[in-house]
Amino acid sequence: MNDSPNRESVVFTEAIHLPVAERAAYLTRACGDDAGLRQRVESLLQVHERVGDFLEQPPQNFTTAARSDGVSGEKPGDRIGRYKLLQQIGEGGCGVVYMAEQEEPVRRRVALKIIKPGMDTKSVIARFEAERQALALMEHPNIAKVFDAGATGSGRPYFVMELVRGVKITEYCDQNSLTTEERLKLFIEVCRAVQHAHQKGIIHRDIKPSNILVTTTVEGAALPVVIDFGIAKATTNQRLTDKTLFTAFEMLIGTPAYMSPEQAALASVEVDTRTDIYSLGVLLYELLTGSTPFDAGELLKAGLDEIRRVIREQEPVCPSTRLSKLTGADLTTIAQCRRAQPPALIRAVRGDLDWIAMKALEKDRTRRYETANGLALDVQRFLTDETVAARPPSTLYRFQKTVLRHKLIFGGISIIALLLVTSLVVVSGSLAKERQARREADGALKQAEADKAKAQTEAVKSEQVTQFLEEMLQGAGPSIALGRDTTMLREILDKAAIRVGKELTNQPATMAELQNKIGNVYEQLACYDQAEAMHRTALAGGRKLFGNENQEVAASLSGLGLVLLKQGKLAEAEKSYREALAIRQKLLGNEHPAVATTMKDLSGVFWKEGRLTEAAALNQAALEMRRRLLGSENLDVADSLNAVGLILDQQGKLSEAETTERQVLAMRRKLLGTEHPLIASSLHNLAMTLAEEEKLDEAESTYRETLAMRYKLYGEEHPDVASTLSGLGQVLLREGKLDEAATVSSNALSIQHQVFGNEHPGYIHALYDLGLILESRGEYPKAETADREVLAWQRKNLGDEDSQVRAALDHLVAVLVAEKKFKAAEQLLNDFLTPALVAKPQSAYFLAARAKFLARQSRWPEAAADTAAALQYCPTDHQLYHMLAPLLVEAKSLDAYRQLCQKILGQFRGTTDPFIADQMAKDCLLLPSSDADLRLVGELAETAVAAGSDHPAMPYFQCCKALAEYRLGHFNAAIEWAQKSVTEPYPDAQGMACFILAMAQFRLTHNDEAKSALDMGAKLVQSKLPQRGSDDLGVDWQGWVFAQVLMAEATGLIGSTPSTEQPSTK
Amino acid sequence: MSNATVLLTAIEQGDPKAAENLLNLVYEELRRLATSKMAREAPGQTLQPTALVHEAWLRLVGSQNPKFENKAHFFSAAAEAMRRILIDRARRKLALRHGGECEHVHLDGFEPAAPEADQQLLAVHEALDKLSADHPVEAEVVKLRYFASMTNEETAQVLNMSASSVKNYWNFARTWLFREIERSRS
Repeated sequence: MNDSPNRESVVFTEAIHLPVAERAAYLTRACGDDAGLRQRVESLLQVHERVGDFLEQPPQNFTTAARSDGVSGEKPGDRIGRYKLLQQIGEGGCGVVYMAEQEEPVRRRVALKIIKPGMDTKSVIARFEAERQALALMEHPNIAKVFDAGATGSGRPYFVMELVRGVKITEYCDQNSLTTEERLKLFIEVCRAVQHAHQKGIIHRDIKPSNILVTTTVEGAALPVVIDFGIAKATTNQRLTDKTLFTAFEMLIGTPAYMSPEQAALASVEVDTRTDIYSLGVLLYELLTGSTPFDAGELLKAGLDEIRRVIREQEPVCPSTRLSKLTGADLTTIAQCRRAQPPALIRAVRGDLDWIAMKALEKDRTRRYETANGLALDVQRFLTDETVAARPPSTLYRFQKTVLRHKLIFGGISIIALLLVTSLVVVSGSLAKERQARREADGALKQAEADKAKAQTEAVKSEQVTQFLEEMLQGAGPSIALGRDTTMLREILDKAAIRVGKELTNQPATMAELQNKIGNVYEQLACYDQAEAMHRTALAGGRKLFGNENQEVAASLSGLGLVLLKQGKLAEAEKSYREALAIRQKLLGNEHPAVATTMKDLSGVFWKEGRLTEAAALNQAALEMRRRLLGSENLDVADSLNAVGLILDQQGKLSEAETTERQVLAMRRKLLGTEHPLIASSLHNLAMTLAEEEKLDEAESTYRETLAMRYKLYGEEHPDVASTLSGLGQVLLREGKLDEAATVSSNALSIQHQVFGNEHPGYIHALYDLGLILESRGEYPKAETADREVLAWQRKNLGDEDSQVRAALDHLVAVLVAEKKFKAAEQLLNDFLTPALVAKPQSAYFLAARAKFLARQSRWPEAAADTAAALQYCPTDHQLYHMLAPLLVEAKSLDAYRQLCQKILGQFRGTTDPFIADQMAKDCLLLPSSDADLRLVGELAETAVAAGSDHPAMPYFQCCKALAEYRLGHFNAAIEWAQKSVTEPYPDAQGMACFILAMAQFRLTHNDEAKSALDMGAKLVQSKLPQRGSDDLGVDWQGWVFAQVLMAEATGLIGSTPSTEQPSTK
Repeated sequence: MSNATVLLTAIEQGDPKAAENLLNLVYEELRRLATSKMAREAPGQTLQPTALVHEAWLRLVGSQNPKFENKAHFFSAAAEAMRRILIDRARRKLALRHGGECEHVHLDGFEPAAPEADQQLLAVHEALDKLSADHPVEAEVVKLRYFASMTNEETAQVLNMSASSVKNYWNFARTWLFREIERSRS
């Protein structure tokens, strides 16, 4: 940038550095003929004297008030509190460290750290304060102590530490020519100090020789002291992100050699105690070999990106290899510093010490020592000639798989675990102290006052813990959302749950609150049993403590309701929500956001139970309340609208549902951005509705969009991912993309299994879906296994009369029939149809199911009997009539058939539904001798073609109409309708149409046409429909019967005439 | 990656729009930071623009796996943003004082400062545009040194030059601006 500086600037700069007297001569030389340049520079030189500190102060209006109190830095000699500053001994990004003198109560030298003037922004102060707290938590001979803290007159905080007068550990070792063994002993002490910090929830994150000073005790022993927790620590009440980065940034610029791979990655929150283990590994390496695994100078030369790459990817050589590669002179120096001969030094390091150092230096922190203590112990084992835990990496590779799976979450979680435990310990500890103090001091204090004080203390502390836990749990939410492996989070929750139960018994209110919160996170993690247990414990505790009418009790009930709902325990969920609602209405009044929320939750239970009208009404009330209280566009309203969409969908109002769902999606996108669990769930619901609307393309793409988002948000194993996979699988199935459907559904199933085990409705649903797909793919044995499992579960959990059981039964029977396992199918149906069940109306469905099965087997009288029995219970079910009519005809029960036709007309004449009209008319038209009122039948047939004119099933309706016209003697009209139907590709309708056509042509004495139509129909029946006597007539057995019966009639009619080509008359 | 990181990468790849977008982004962030701090902190506290800029860096880039080579672009943008913020505030305060605004003016929690300070700020701002026409490097130094309150060393790092060069440019620019402002007032 300063390659071609402006001439004016250069000349000016030169000139002002010259004595005034010499400037004119210089300008003459420098400007030559350029008078303009000379004039410009001269004018600048004229004002230069007057410029003074112009612009040297920052812009004035950046002061919060007109008055500025002239903030300036401290300097040696100044006093801060009771400390006199002696000299500056260190300086970091935001703080300065002074050596200072304390005069009372004791005179001593201390280190005083203070924020630099002007750097006291809120985040810096928070960081600074965090460091002080971190240090105050620790009490260890090898860690610099904090004596005091305070703030200057202008509010800048400072704290006072033990002044450590020592030298860097590496220097100390070399200066005193410590042997390897002596170095290792010092190293163990360092590890113990770091371990102490870790136990307090503090991570140093900047362990390097200059932060480990060795002093000498009065007895003359070497004492390593870990200093400068200044840029790097996690404390109980601070979010880690900012600081982690801050640290990483400073380290990158400062001491990259000691930086861990995860720090080099610069990814936030990825730093935990094992980062310190890594740095300890580097320290050990340097103590052993005299150099760091990667050369700091080389690293810095390589540039920042290269530093990061090397630290993250390159494996360092073993310490012994490093030593053996040194030049002779270097090796001799290193060995001399350790009072050893070079070969002996290499031998000592080779093997155990190599492995110990390399284990600490693992790139993958899950393979490092888990604790600093573990590292210290292994070094100790080496010193006492015991077997060390560290081994060549190859034996550790068996962990690799687990490690890969857990990779993402390991960092954050162990910090959280430490934080949680520390926080609880701190709180319980301080409570215990206060109680102790009170017991000792206040014999005179009245009990009531003591109680009050206790209550207040507890309130304050509870708030702290709760806030902490909430922060932790908020952290947990995203980590679930981010698709991280939640195994460790579950472990932490388990531990937290136990701790809370054990250690907070003296704070029952806090305990209940925390248990509720833990329950909520369990719920989010889909650990429903634990969630239920937590909420129930909290509920019991709450009731005992507060009685039944209390917010916390309501919170427990709400949490419990949700868990029960997720578990499918709907009746219990309803009870729980109802009680929560009653409590909240009583405490908060009828008009309150929490009341609206509870109402909405309760409506969700109704929805699940299929009580749609109630669900819709309650949800609508909640929606309106939310709009009144919160306005028209917010997440609560979106939530209610979402429920509206679901209910509409369930009610079959699909286009309204779609509109509502799109509205919710738009609102959530506006409020939440592009990616969010709620947006994913909106997309999922929309896809579901689209699928129901048969908009399969759109449904598929919407499901895929949902899936991509959910993968990103939740990872690959989450019930929500599974449910999207299931939906997608169903769409693919309907699109005929069977292979992909099977893959997708199997994935869904294995997730459900993983999350819920094999006893959960979610798993069973997925299994059912998969069964359907397997059936479609013709994989019957697999489908049978799946269907059997589904059915067994449903019978056990829902009872034989549940509608889901029926669907599952139908599928299993279909699969068994497809496998030609007829006996098994029949057995299954007979199992259901116990005499006790047959005596009840609920048996109708199963009777019909067995009738269908028997009909397919051509077992007409038995099938007819079952159907007739079912019809007793369901006299308005047109499908049963449509079964019974052909069955009676095939069973040759003609009286019964005629009676049935009378019933049909009594029941269904005047129907407007084309399907019912078609089927009922056909039933009555099947035999010419049905004795049915043909005028009424004709009307039904007319309804079918009129109301069903744009329906794909129209050929059937046309066929029906043709038959009606034929029976009415309108042969020309019959021919016309039959010809329309005959061109369509439905073999049974086509066959029927051929026979009607043949008969009508014959009646008009068009014998050739009649004959050819009959032949065509016969061929169709022969080639496209199952043969009479075949072991399975298929699901379209009714169409088969109709075609057969009409063929017989037509053959009878036409075949009875001379089969000559020439009719007798012209 | 954050927006800022994306933009920094784009600038490196020569996308001309990215610089403008980055400036807007940084401007918004700094304005937000400054406003919230000003509103909360005790009267009499001087906020260091450099602290604000560093905080903006942490918020916008630091939290996302930064490419540190791009720091220069960021700090240049931040300095320019800081300049705009300061000028904006000065103008609004002066306008308010002179009754130049008939509507309600939201001052983001500022106390009106001494008018001279604001006058000077605006004067520097205007003169700086002229300076940058002939002396762009010197003008850049002013932005970083004055508006972003960076030290010579920090400025040197951002502009990839030696600290003594920064000092020379700074000296020249201060003198140049002083003369320009004096001229415009006479």
